[in-house]
Amino acid sequence: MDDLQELKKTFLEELEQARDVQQLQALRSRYLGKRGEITARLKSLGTLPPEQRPAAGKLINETKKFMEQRLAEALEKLQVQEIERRVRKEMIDVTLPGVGAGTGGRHPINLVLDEVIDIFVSMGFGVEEGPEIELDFYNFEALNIPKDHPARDMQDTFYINNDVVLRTHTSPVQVRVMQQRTPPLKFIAPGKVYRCDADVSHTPMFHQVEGLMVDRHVTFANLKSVLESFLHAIFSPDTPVRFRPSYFPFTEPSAEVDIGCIFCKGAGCRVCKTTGWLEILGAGMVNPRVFRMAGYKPGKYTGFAFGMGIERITMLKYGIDDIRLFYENDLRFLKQF
Amino acid sequence: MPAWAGRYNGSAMLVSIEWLKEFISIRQSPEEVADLLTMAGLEVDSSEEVNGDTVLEIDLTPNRGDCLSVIGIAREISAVTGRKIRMPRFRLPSEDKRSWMKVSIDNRDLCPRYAGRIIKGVKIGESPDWMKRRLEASGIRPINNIVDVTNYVMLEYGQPLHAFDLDRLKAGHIRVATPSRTIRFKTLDGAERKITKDMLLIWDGDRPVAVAGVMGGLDSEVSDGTTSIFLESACFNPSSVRRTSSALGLRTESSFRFERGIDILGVDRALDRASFLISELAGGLLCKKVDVFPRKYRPRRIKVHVDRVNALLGTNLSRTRIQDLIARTGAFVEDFDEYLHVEVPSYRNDLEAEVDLIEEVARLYGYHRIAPAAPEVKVEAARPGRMRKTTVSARHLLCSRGYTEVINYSFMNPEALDLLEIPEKDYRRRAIPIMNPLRQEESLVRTTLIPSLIENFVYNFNRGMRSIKLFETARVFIDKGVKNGRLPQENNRISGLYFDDSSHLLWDTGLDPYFHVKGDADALIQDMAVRDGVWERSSEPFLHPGRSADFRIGDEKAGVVGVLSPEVVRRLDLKTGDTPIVVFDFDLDMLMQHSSAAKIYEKFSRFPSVQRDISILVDAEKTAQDLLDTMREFRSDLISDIKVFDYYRGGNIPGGKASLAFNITYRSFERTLSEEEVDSVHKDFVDFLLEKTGAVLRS
Repeated sequence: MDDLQELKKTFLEELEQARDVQQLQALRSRYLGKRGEITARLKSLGTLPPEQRPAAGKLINETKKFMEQRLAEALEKLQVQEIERRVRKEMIDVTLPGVGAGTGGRHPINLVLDEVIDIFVSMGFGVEEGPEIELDFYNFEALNIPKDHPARDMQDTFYINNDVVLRTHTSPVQVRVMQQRTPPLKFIAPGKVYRCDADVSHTPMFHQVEGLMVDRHVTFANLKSVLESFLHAIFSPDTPVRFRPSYFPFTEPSAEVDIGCIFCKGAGCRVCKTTGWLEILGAGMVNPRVFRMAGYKPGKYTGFAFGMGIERITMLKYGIDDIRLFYENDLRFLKQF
Repeated sequence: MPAWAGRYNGSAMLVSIEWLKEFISIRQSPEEVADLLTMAGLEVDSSEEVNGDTVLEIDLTPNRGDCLSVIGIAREISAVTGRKIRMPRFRLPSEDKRSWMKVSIDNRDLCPRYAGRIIKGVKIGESPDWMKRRLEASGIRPINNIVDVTNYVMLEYGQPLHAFDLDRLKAGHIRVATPSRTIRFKTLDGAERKITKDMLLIWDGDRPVAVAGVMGGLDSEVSDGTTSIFLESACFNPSSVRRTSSALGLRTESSFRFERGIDILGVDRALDRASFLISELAGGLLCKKVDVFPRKYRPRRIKVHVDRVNALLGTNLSRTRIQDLIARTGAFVEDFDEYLHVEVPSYRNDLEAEVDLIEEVARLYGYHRIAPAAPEVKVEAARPGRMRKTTVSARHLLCSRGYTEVINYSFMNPEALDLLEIPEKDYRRRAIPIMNPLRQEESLVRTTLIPSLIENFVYNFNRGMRSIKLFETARVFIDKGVKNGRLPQENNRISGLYFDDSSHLLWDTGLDPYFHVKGDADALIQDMAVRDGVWERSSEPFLHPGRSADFRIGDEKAGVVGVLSPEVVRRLDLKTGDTPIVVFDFDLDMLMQHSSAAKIYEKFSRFPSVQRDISILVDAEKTAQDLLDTMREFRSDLISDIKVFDYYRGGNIPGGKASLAFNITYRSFERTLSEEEVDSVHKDFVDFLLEKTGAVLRS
């Protein structure tokens, strides 16, 4: 069986030379294929005397196993090498930007509007909408602002004709809802409003959120609680809040709500005009005359209403110092949000 | 300033602390006074040091006409602090009882009280320094001793006064009346005014000499040569003065005060005060005071229920505490039969009902002392409406696909519709004009968002941006007869614009921008779960006829996607080269109507599916939509999906023809399909398609 030893040696030498899968395949068929060396030897076993056959067969089979094993190992090694080669070839500059240059931007006004709405919804307020082009009746008269009232300034209102205006606040939604439903009511009315005014601090269109809560025993103390919760949610829980008397034709008592200046923390700066406070909301208890206009029985209900400008809150939240930026729609501004 | 407050705030009033001290003792620093007033509802906007004095600028709300004077502010400080107020003391020199002005009032509603006095032999000159200083600190320019005194007393008491040159009042009879016809009248600012029949005038006999409560006439103005005057102190109807002053576009210190209501019981006192000061500063002989006050004044009485005070405020104030707080306003309060009976002082015209007094209680008690209390809880799920949810979702979708959200004014330039060649009959021509627009370019309420988006594009393009993808969600307004008081239709829309100059893109996908945007539109439609729409060629006048498509649901057009027509781009005069500007515009209300409100799970086959491809040659006029519609007519419940995966024209394809390839997915709900089964159905399908469409199979 020296012959087998010789064969093994040649096999190993040739295996050493094999450089790729094809050469390995060739090697396999030369030794283990149908007409291969090992197969030929197995076939020739029949020529041996019967008593020698088992030992010889065993030897041949051992050699066959040995070869198969080495071939498999070599193949595995070659495959790994091939993958490594491919990986090297497929190397790219992974720091190049991806396809599609990212997302666009949300308009900051709508971002804050959504945030305000979410906070009030979480406090159980519904969301109502009404027309932006509104009857004078709903925009003024039903809110206790008759014609010739000092609170009504022709200069401020965009008129379509004597009876129709671009709404100057979202308050008419209050009246429309009250006319249709009986308390308890608890909702906000977000939307666009218009005033005939354009300068450094005014745009002819802006956004407001109005709120209303009406029931049998709603109090001024409730109003304070709800608005404090809201302001703590939209700014931060440690924001100081103060209420001071003011005047709105549709509420009585009326209040102006200030927060401690978020820039100077109350020390006094340019933004708060050194007062340490920033006006943020108007609010008050619904004037009984408004209830009467809505057709509610006098004395049956009480309620509070409040209103805020979204531009103002957005400017404070993002440190924006010019209201006109909101409506120039410059991508260099909008892409930041 | 919160928007809510914006329109209701009146205008600023300047008040000197040194002057205030004449009427009330002030121990606090100016900052403390400012804070005290602010927290009482008289918001101090700023304070300024002037020659050792501090002048506060107070932003007064329009209901507090009583605070448009130094004494008014002093009264307010008194109400908050409880300190007593000292009214001015003076003694009038003796009057010439034989001489007076005849006064008659034609319209008592417009002028409930008119007082006046002749002063003879005055010497016109400069006012003393102390008076000029106080006037200047209050923002009023000194003129001469007579005019200065009228202004001084107006600032002191809040009662506007007017001095006429007596020698110019020839008739010697003052009448208060409206004209019987429209007349012309020259006010002392030199302007000729058109006076209509509803405007109240002061007449010297038949000749007008002043617009009541607004401004005197040029002709009877006090001048250096004046030797005798007639001094007027009156009360005019607030609405009437407001109407007149706004119709004339003439706002004066006087009209401002009358509009907000003055103290009708203070009319004669102010007249005496001014008479006294004139006699001191300009000499002269005071004649007999005339005071026409036809109707007896009755103070307003209001009943206040103590329980209602606490119920509205959420407080627990005692009866006597409430009584005391109301009394601080200067009101007289009596306590009997369960109510507090309040007699309101004549200068508080704003206190009309119980709730006004409840506000006074809250104000003088201090808003800050009312403890917040959470409302009684009713557990109730609140949810925003469907439109809101849909809009929010659509916005997120477009943002994540690279679009930036814009917000434009709801205004439109009338020329924009011409630029877009919108036909006269189109609904977008039914735009509502604004009576008093800020600019001609903003004189219509918009009926489409496209012009605004084009403006935004031009703005950004001109600033060097070359990748501009914008969208907006907003309402448009279609006239439905606003002339007859019918409100317009307000229609929610979502529209966008896409421009991407690929020459500087690292990964140029070579994709036609039209299909990019249509993909975004398809995603939007899918996001809203709209099922039944189809795409077809659009005839929008401002879009490229070959590169625009309408999205139609039934007979209605729900939206459009398309490349801006070369003609519109030419008129915009921009160097955009070959890169198209693609726009889309959808009717959100209509999409919502057709969207499935609730998603319902649809059964799908759990067996594997099999794919077959088919490649055909058809007339190029046939759209993919046409072919898909035809394919869907083929009856087989084994087909689950058909997709176009290749489209090609030109090259080796004959002219007028297009090559399309479709991928068809077969599956069964009952079993795994065999290849033979699929082959057989697919063959029928192909035969059906070729027969119906006249297409030929590509090898």
